Amino acid sequence: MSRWDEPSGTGTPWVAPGLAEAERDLNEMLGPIDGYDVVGWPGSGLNDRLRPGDLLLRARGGFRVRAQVAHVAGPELHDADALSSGDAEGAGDGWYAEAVWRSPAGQGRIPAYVRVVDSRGRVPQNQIVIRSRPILPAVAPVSLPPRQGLDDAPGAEEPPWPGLGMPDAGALDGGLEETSPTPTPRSWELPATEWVNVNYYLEWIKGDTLEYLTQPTRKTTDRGLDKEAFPGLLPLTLIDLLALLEIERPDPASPADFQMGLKTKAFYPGTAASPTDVAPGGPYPVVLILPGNHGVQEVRQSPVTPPATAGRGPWKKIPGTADGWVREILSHAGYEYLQEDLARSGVVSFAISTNPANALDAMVQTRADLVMAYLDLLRRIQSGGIASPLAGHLDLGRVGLLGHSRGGDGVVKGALDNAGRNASSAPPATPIQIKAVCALAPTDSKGTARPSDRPVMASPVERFLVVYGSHDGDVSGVGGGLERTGTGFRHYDRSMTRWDTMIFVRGVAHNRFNTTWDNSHSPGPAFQHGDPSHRLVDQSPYPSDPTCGVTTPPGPPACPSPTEYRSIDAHKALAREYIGGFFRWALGGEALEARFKGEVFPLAAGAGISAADVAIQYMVPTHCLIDGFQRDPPGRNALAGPASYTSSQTVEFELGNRPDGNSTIPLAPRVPHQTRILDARPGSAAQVVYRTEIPAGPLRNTRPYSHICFRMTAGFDVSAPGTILSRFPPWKLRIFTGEGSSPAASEAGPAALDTRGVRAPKPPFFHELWVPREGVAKSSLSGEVVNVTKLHFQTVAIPLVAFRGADLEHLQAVELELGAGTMPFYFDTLCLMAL
Amino acid sequence: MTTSDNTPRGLEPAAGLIARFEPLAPGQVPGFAMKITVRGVQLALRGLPLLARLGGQELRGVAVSPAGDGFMGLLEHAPHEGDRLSFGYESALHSTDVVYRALVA
Repeated sequence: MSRWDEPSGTGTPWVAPGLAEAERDLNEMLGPIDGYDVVGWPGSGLNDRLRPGDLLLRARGGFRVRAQVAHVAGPELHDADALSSGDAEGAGDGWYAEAVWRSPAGQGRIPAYVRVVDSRGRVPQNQIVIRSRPILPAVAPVSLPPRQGLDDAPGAEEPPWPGLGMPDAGALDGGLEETSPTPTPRSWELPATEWVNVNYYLEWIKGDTLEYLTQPTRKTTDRGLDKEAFPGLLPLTLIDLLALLEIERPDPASPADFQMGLKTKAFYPGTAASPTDVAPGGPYPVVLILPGNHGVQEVRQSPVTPPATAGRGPWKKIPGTADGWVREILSHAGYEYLQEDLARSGVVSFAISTNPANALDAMVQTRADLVMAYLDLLRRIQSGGIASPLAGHLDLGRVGLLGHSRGGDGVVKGALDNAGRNASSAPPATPIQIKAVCALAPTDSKGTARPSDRPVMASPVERFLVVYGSHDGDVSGVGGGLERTGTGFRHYDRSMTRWDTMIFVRGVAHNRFNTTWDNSHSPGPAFQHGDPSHRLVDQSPYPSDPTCGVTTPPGPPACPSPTEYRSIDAHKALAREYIGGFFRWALGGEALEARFKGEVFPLAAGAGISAADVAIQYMVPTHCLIDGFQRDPPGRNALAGPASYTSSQTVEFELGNRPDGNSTIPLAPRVPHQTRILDARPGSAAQVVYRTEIPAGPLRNTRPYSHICFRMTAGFDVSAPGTILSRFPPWKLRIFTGEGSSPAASEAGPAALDTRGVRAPKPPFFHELWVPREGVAKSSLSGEVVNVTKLHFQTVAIPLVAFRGADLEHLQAVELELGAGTMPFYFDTLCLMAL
Repeated sequence: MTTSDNTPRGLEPAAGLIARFEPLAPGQVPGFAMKITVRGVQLALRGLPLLARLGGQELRGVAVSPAGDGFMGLLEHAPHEGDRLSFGYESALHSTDVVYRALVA
């Protein structure tokens, strides 16, 4: 049985035996091959540029086992139309590379241009593109006693094909044999608003203390809901208006109180034969989707057309007006594209209305309480207490939460509250287990509170994903990591689940994930970026600026570079592959973990976002943290070994709060993180700036791990796109190994980095906001351009085997050396991981 | 308009606002002395919370109205004569022409 006989998970039956066959062929031709990286899975785009020597495998005669092999000779892809018929193999539209076919006997064939991807940029279903890996010494696993940060036996979450990573979602597209039919997405909506007594909280941070209004309350008087606090156009009090829309209403049992209305729409795996039946194969995992803060109503004082509009409730006549109408904005209806995808993959999702919180501009706790209320609703649906086709089909032991914007804050707190409730002295009769949480462009409104008041994502939540865009024009991170309201970087920095991942994606905005929200203001795709702090960039009467093809406000800058904004479709693709993929993996058991450790980039070519746009941070279950630079106790690393700085210019600090007052750049507004790091300053010659020791004993054995990893960024000049260098400062990591008192040194630098998928480090993504001046008309020209380009950390990984000659069972020390230069180098989370 | 490095500055005071200062009876909203309601604004409803300050005192529990045309907040202490209102979404707040004047009987 060869390694390829393990389940491929691709649904493409020829791939595994084809690879095994190809390996045998290549062994005959070239000698032993140790492993491959997949450059392009069947049905997916290429995740890297081709390189000479890459191998193209093609199933011969359809889906037969045996594969043909071609050696790629050049990296360029050529349009079929640009090639003469004699050069190209004539396989149809698409993109061709120069390649040499090899027969199993080893004779070369005539050079030709071989079709690598189709016209949409996808590898045909009967092909795979791979890249051979260096032949490296075998690593035998060695058992170690449990220790901090080491959860699983090595390889427990490893891909079944060592060195290949896991197939990406693109490889699962149509045209494949499947073991069961793809479920048909079906939807179900709560037939009537459910009214609950959820508390409303006023909350704030005073000093570093998180405070709430002393008595959490739903009294109408505390919000002015019984008064004309905001009379606007309406003859109604606010509570009347909200009651008309079934968002809030006076409590029938206690009219001085108000209640909140629950509304939800579910998508589930259904069947083609029935509009309501749930597909066999359940019970299915469940995801709750929380939108963020947004307006809740639209008012018209003119006749309205009754037809329903996506993302809006029905128009309702306002009592006491001649022709006044109001309808609800359904923010929770903006994720149906994602819900349908999840349903096809066997995940039930409930998009839930948080308009009761939005109407009150509530921050975190009200949203967390709404999560709890909706979890109770799930119990009633599951038990049949609410009539639904989903009764009995929900797996409440596998529940995930997705929260967007303030909803991101809300799901983190909601997951913690649910865990607290399960562990309380009066747990619910049907505990709900939240296993996975995703925060999409989240606010972090409690991150500057004292540590005990900060929400920290941790067990029993097993996996946590943060998705955040560099071009977020709402939760923009202006001011940096020390601001009252922070971003997803701070959530990630604090998180302690078994598997944490954060992707920071160039060109991705805030609102575009929600189709209900304000996404397209003006003509042309370049203008469709409706985030609040972008909204004036593209609106008339600003003159057109031909130099960048957009309309801009008068005055500097001439071009706010909106062409960086990724399209709405690109945002949807990102959500499907990373957020949808996250829940399919974490709850549904699909083998998609490779993308959450950066090894695979799952979006198809042409999706509008490439691997070069994604910066990733991750911590997988099998890891050993060597140094997090927390310095507790002082001078010691996380393993209690000594740590020292051999450069006088190297200091530690809480990001943005430099103790030495010697900053050469305004670091605080540039750094979105909340962590302590190593701030290493290079000199006029190469020098070691940091050294740490591993205590004697089993901790020195690195065999359970495949890579040494750390987080890094640098002090780039981000004042303009052109000032951002494309390269990081030169560095080397040196390890000292051996059993004696004179360990041998071996080193690796940037060239040794594992750059598969999205793992290559990315320089900062330049971004400026157009910040409108609040408090005046939205059409005002008044505002300001603010640079919010971030110095973001990313996890980088060096294969341990890259340290040639090292005794990997006896790691004694690690050093960081910087080359000559002037750019500060920021370094954190030195660890070993089994990737 | 100016171009800044990281925080807005150099903005003119916002005008045309209407503010109501409502003293709170002891215990009416525990811990707070005054409620402020501001109208005449046009605010985007967004993920970031609105920040507001009267003089040197930060408003707590700031909440924007559903239509974005106003906001309210609470003061722990009675304001001083002449305290000016400022607010905004980003860290540097925009000054307004709203100034607190105590009623004289």
